[in-house]
Amino acid sequence: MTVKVSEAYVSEVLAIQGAAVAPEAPKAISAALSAQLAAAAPAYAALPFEAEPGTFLAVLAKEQP
Amino acid sequence: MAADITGLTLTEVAARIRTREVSSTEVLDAVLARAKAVHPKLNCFLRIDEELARAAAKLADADFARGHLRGPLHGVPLAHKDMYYRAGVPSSCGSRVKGKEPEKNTATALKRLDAAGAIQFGVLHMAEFAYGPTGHNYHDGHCRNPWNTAHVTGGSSSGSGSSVAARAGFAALGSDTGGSVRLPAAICGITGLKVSYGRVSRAGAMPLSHSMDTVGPLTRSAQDCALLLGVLAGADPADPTAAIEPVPDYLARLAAPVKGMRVGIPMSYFTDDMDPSVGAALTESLKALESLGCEIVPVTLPAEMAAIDVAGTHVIAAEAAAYHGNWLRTRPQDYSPQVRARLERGLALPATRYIDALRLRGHALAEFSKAVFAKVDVLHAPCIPIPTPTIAETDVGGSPSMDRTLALMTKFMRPVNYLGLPSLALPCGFLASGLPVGMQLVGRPYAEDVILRLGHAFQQATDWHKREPKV
Repeated sequence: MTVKVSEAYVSEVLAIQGAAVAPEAPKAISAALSAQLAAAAPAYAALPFEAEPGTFLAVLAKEQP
Repeated sequence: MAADITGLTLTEVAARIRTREVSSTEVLDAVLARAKAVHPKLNCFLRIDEELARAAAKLADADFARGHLRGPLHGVPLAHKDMYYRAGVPSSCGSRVKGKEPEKNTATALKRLDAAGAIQFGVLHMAEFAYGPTGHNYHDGHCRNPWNTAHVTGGSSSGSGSSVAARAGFAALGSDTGGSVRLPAAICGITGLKVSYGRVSRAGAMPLSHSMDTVGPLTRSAQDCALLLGVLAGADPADPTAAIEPVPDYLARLAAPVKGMRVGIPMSYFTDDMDPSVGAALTESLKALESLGCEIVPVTLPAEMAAIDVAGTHVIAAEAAAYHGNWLRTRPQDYSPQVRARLERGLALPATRYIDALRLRGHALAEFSKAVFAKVDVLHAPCIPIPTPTIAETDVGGSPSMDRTLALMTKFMRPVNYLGLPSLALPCGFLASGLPVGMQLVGRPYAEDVILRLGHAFQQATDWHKREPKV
């Protein structure tokens, strides 16, 4: 899956959060995030509608010996 | 005499104090002398509190003379990663952002070590805000590997790994959010325990990623990890994520047989990018486990291991960026460029993807357990697939392959954090270069007793963990 995080998006979203970043930062961040989000996208897309973050601790307790 | 003392394991030195073979003061003298001797070469300490420690050791000896034994660590001097807060004392967390103001509370982990009788004699080097896998620190200088000072220690618990391996401490607290206990343990040739998520209270420990952070010991043996875990583990009103599961007698359970234990070897993911010399050491370790009566079972991991790794990255990035948001806005110049860049990446991650990473976690653990722990008791895996890189190779501008090297250092670590599983890292061989190779034994949730038992049995049959670097 192709995911493109543009440098413009990175610059805007960091500016919204008040972070003054180095000039080269948006390029590096957009490349890293594009690759990461593409790698995780199929797994995230396969999540059932009802999947909740809180189930992790329940599974952790359930899977103990 | 001093070398005889510093060469002891934690279990041994605690026993010798209890049997009056040595006093706490004598032990402290030996440890301080060793720390002062190796620190100029390794840069493993951030501070040594000699005067306070000497007073505490005297008090411990006086208590003992009156017949009062505080606990299993009575009078044992320890130093810890500088991110465990003690009320009234500043903690720098390896940064220039923190470290001026005294902390208000004492970490539960320190309180439990105090109650067990341990004496804190200093604080140890760490990666800035525990956000780096190598041991580089541009504020405090880089920590150095006692086996070869040109090489990294692994991080972020760099000083814990370096000092314990160099016999300048019997054990140390580290923290493991994406490998920060296991990496320095494996790379420095010692034994480190990454606990199940919630097994040890995080209260009073610097947060990096609250969903992934774990507190764990670095020692010179699985037995020492068992001793410390028994002191540290358990529920804590100050940390709502601390697990309420009962704490077994980890030391007593070391004695149970490992014959018949099923040890899984992964058929994918953990086999990627394997250097033949590292692979050979891991293969030898399997033979040793087989000779102990373990059954070696190939296991097929879930296909989504790479996505699991990335999801772990998303959780850490988003949570770390949130913790550091205010300082990133107001004091960006106080961060090193590398750590600042890592933190800023999290600011750009969409919130929905962070939530997705959390939503995936329970499902991923269930799938991993079905694929692995339905077939085996423990998963045997490498810590890092390559020989330990040098400090220069992993420094900014040091090598065109720096990013890839750093990615390979964390690839086999982070999924274990994301899945919340316990893992014991321990030495399983040495390369021709003289650098150690580490393996990890990954267990079911809260099955620290099982991986410690297997690690202990392995260390009874091998002597890799007894090798000492010449510093």
